[in-house]
Amino acid sequence: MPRKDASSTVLGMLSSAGAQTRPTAPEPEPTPTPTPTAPPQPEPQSVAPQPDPIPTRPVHTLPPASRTQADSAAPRTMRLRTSTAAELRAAWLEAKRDDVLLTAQDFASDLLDEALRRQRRRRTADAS
Amino acid sequence: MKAEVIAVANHKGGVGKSFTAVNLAAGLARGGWRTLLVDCDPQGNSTSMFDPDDDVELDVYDLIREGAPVEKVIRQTRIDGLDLVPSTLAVAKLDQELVTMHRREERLAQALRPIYPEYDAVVLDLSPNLGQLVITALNAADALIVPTDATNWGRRGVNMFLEWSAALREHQVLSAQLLGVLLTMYDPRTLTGRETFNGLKSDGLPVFATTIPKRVAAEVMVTNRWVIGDAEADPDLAQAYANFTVEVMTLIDTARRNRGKHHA
Repeated sequence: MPRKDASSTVLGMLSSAGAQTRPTAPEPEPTPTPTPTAPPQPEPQSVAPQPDPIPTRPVHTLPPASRTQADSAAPRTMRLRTSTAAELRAAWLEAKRDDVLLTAQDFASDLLDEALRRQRRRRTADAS
Repeated sequence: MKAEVIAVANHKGGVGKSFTAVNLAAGLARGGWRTLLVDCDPQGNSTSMFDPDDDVELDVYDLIREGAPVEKVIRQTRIDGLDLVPSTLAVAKLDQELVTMHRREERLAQALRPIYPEYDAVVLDLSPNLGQLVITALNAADALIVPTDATNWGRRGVNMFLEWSAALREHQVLSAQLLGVLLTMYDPRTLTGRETFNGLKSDGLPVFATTIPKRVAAEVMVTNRWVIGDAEADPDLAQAYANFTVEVMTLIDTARRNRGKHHA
């Protein structure tokens, strides 16, 4: 089995077993909040079938001390369109060649931060 | 709910203790369990898997000896849901210094207690000896996993270790449930491997159904700091450790449910 497939299989297996056996109840599913200026999107035709390999906790904070209420209120997982998820993953793997320790979470978060900053600037410019 | 504290221990060296602890911890985290890996071995091998810069400031020594708050000692790893209490060579001093400390057996459990609610599992990687730090770490454990290589000396070592730990149980220092013996570096084509596997079972020991295959790739994984779930990890080893992790999850889940029944 190719390594990538083996890795997906392993992650899927762990995710499934972990969900059934995890001692504490998982966090409740947050209500998805649409991004204010995002163009209306069609319903996703399908969702990614593999367990999410993207880490879901901020990497630069210590777990016991750093969670703020605002952090925990915001949804931290979101299903992407299949095509977008595939592009994101490919871009992450590409970036990982230069920085082997780059996590998918950091990569995706940085992309989003940058896009949101650009969007805010555009809105400010449009308003003025 | 309190984290399940799992000690990975064997006084025989070179049996894959740290490799097992690291991959178990990574597997649990990647299965969604919030996991803390505590490196109690002054060799710091588990630490090195997640600390390529080798820039540990606070370690298990500071935690136990200096009373550093555990929150300050914990470091995040590159794996989501997996944190680390690192070790350095300074931890070697603990074996001697613990001896003169009051309530020495309880020191690690006491130090970790504040963060138990923050995690689902705490994995302790112990050093290959029967020193005071090992005893102190075992005292903190709820569950015990004994990895061994598939050799006659390995089988002999497991029985000696469990005989020694029985004395700790007798003196109420150890109360951890033996989850099982994990056969590492196993080659089913060799007579010694098969004899060791069957021998451990005939010794009446719980042996994990999963065995970890003997692979040169284990060293490659260590060199490159790859663990279970990484795309680059050896597929056979990753699959074996995933099977093992699922076995551990299931055993702990069952034990927890049974405890719940008794308490109900």
